[in-house]
Amino acid sequence: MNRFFLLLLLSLATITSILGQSKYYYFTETVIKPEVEVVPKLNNMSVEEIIKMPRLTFSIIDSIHDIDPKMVYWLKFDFTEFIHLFDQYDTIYLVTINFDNAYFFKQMDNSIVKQRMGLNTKPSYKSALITRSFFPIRKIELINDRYIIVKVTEIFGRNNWRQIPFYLHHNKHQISQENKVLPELVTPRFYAYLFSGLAIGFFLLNILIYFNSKNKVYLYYSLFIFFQAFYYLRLTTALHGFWEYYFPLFFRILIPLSQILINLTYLLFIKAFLNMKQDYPFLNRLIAILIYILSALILTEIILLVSTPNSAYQPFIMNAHRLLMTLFTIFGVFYLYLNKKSNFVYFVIIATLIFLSGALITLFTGSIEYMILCAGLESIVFATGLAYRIKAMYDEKYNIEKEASYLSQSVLRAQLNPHFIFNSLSSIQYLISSDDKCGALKYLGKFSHLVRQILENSIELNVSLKREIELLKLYLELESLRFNNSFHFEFDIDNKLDTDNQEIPLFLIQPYVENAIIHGLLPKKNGTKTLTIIFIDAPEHIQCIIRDNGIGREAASLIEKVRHYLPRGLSVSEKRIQILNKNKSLKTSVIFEDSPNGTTVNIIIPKI
Amino acid sequence: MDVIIIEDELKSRENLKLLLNKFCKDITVLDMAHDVSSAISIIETYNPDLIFLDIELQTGTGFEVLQKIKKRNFEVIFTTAFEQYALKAIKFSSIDYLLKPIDLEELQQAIAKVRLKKDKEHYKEKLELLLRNISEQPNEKSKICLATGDGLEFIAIKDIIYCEASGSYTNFHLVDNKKLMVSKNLKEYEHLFENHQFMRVHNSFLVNLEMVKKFIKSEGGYILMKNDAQISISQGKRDIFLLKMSQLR
Repeated sequence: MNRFFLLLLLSLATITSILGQSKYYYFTETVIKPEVEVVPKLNNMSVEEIIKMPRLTFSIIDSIHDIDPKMVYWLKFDFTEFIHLFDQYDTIYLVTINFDNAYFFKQMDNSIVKQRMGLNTKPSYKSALITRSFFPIRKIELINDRYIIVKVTEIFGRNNWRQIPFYLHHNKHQISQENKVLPELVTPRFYAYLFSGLAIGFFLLNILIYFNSKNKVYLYYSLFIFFQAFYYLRLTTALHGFWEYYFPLFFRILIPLSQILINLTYLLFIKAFLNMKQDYPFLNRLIAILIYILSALILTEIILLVSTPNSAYQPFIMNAHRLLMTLFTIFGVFYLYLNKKSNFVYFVIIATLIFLSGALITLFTGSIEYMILCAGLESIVFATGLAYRIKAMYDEKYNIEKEASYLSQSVLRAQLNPHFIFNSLSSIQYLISSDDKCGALKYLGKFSHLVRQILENSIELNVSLKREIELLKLYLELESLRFNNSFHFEFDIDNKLDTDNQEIPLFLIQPYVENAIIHGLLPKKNGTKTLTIIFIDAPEHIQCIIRDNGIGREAASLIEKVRHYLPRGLSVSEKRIQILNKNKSLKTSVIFEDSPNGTTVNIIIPKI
Repeated sequence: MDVIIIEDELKSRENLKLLLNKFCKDITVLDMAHDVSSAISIIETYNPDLIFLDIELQTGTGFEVLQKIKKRNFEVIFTTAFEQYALKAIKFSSIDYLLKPIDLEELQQAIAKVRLKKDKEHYKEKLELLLRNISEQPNEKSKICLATGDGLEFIAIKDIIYCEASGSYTNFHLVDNKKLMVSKNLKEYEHLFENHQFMRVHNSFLVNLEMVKKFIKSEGGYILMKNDAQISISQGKRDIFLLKMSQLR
């Protein structure tokens, strides 16, 4: 049903547009039909020859249909029928469409003059007007008192003479197709309108993003582009007039002010965009000073403009601020290039250079369109930068989430090494098969305690230091059973530590302890094997030291080489620490100290 | 039967010895070892019938022990607490293994199997296949040992066209129109072949992607294999299948 309806609509639209294409023009005005001579473009004919010919090939224009681009059309308008109009009016206008290239012939002082017309005609700046679709004719200008000749060489966008109207009118102000354009006003206005349209769109988009994300960078960008749009809007007659008429004072203040505001918001924007506070502290301080200076200038400007609108200081202030900004941007671009910390700087460098060159070209040539064009490009580059920033942020977030979910999935296996779990069970099995009921019960209890604690806590949860130490003790007792009491362990806990209330991430330390036993103590052949775990209280963090008197990491790595697998506990711990450290000023860190007489691991955990 | 235990943890070693002595008949534990070098020397001294071999040893792996012994006229039962990568290679060669802590029933079954073994010849081949699979990445020549009702079959993985589930059994369809029935379920092989170009396209089918002739869209979609077998494909697997095929070519 829907499809049928759509089809119907579509065919109706097609029929109407086809009918519209071939429709005749009907005018209430006086229609005039010329005689026509069609000549190939290669065969030149002069206007005199056309005048002399008593009859042209086509007596009426309606008898030719198609417009052939290879042909030149000579149109001969006979005014005999309409000569009475000149009794009433001094000037009659011949009205037609906008030809792309044509010549208009009339008589002047006994000779025939020709005038170029049409869209492709380069207007002379002296005459300033492109007269496009109507020709004023006085009685004395008629050739042989009756003819006006038009030579048409280019017509674009039409293929049928019947669509082209010719009529006479006496009042040019009533001619509907009247169109006068001043070319030197067109070009900059065109750019100004284009820029303003673009800028308003960008402004709305970014201000909406700002309200939703509360990220200041979008606010600064939208204001930056808004003030630019405002500044260039003064070039557009309609809006300029509107502002000037309704808000004259506001307008006169805001136009010069907007230039400083553009620079101010530019500085705020790049400051936020490049995260300067962290990445470029020097430039950040410089910009902070500049922002104060610009704010002071804005204040001075407002006072000046309100009190003495034509003050001599006002242009001085403007020039000083321009010089200041130019010097800063040149310095800033070099500084950023030499100290770049991310790809974001390229957006700032490119955009700034584009605008700077536009401003300089405008300064030397005096044509404002270069500046507008470059401002537009600058805004587009910045917008691309913002888009890139969104993508980078999205990617980062995605990676963190991916890693977090990976961690939460693998944490149990990583934190309690499966080797440890099954080998512990195997040791307990031995206690049972060798009829050591007491030992079996004792270690089974410890084992279930440990597994339960790990199963109940997820990765994000912290445990009190006291609990963590208890769990470490359980773990060490089980390992000691597994390895037949071949090593000793001792804890040394700082009295000042509030172990009940200080919290650390669950089992963060355990992989380092396991590493010390398996790769440090067990391979050791002779002598006592001792593991010491020390907790020290520091003002802002808890320091944990795991010290073993084993073979050292260098010797252990030689043994590791012949193995087919790697201990995964440590790498997962490192990843966990990376995630814990994200966006934190106090970081968790691990430092290994090697010596042939064992390894010391220093773990610094920030207090909560 | 003469047995040697190679196991790096004392408790596990003693445990296995106790279990064998108490619950398995006609087993003599000749000696035990805890690292690669002592393992080699006692194997060469005693020439045992069966070795319990821990994969993870203090100074190396159980595979190194096997690599270093030239005369392998003994059976092996691997023991491990947790070693997924090595377990896969062991499964490929269809050699027995026990997971720790040791299940007594499984231990007894494994020993019973060793007693029944007739084809000593094939056994050496199995061990060689295992050692190759351990040291090499999956490649063109990778083989798998399948235990069928009639005995052992060594099959190149590239010769498998597809596997079809049949209850708790799996039918292997091979290039030369051969068909083998193995007493393990399809899931087992899906897991084993995950590093090869295989895909479970249907509850009952695991196909070798290299052996796909084309994908036919009509009638809900099915896959035509190189031996012209038609394999149905689950609706949910279609997109992944087509993606994998495009990556393959």
